[in-house]
Amino acid sequence: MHLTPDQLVDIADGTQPESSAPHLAECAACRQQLIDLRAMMAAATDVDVPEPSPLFWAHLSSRVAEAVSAEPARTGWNWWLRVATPFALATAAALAIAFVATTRLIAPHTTESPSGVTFVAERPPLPSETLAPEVTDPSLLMMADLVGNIDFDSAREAGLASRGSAEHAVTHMTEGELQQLHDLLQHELNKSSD
Amino acid sequence: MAQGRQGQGRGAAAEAGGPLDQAGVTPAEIQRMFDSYALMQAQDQLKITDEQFPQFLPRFKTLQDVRRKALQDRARILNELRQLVNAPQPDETQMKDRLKALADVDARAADEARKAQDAVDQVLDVRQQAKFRVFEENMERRKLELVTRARQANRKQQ
Repeated sequence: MHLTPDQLVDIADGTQPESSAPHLAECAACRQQLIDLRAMMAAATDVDVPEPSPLFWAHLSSRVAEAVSAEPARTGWNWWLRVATPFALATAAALAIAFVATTRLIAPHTTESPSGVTFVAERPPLPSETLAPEVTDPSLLMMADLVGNIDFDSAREAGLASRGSAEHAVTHMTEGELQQLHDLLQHELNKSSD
Repeated sequence: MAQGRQGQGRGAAAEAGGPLDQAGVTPAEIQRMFDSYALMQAQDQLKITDEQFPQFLPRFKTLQDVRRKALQDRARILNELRQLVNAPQPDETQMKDRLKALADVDARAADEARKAQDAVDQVLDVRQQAKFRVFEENMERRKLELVTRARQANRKQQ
């Protein structure tokens, strides 16, 4: 069983030692995820963060605006979006870290009222938690959490979908998924041959 | 497009997908199918002529192989470095050796990829070279789309 995004973040930020996850010793993919995460966290703390292209910000800011206007019922979380937006506009890496860190910090907090009634603040689901349960690949779960609803173009602009990422994803697919992909590719190959 | 070249494409498709029906699908088989798919799409989108194709085919395959091998070599050395870093008593001599190996791999990979790209470009005219850059971006996107669709289709089946 691969490490979850939470476990990887715990190890990357030093909350948990690597020895707490014996799986790391035998899984190259999880180790790579950890290295990537540490590198990303280090990059996010660097003062001189390079500015991505204007296209990325246009995509991102419009999507944040759409998300805020489309979800009025979540008024309790609008403050979070208002806090998160400046971070997003500051740097893509900072957005990723802020997202993970914020969701970890705010959820769930329990407060005891004077009357003895317990109020529980529930965080909105992470993007990874909305995926099908059989999706266990930590790289996909983490990517889902980091990029949320950002489309391929925006992710590519931010350097989150590099060349070879599709082939890397293939190495983490289940037998059923591989069979489906095989069938799809076979169909595409046959179509191209006609 | 010449019948012979199309036949070659169908042959590649059958070769890429044929044995899988009996033995199950492996990531390596999928990667071979990706290569075949990319080749057929490149033929179509770049309008590779019959004269270009015999030279384009091996050069395109070399470019794919060079990139893939570079990623594999890099991952292998990083894994070795990881083991050294996590060792109870890190060996700095070995670390230096592996760091140098990593730098060598990066330098060699960049050089080989550039040469392989140049070799492909020599077969293509300027418009085709431009289309090829765009094609490679689109192909990566297309592969990711297929991966996503496969996951969704598998989910629906369960």
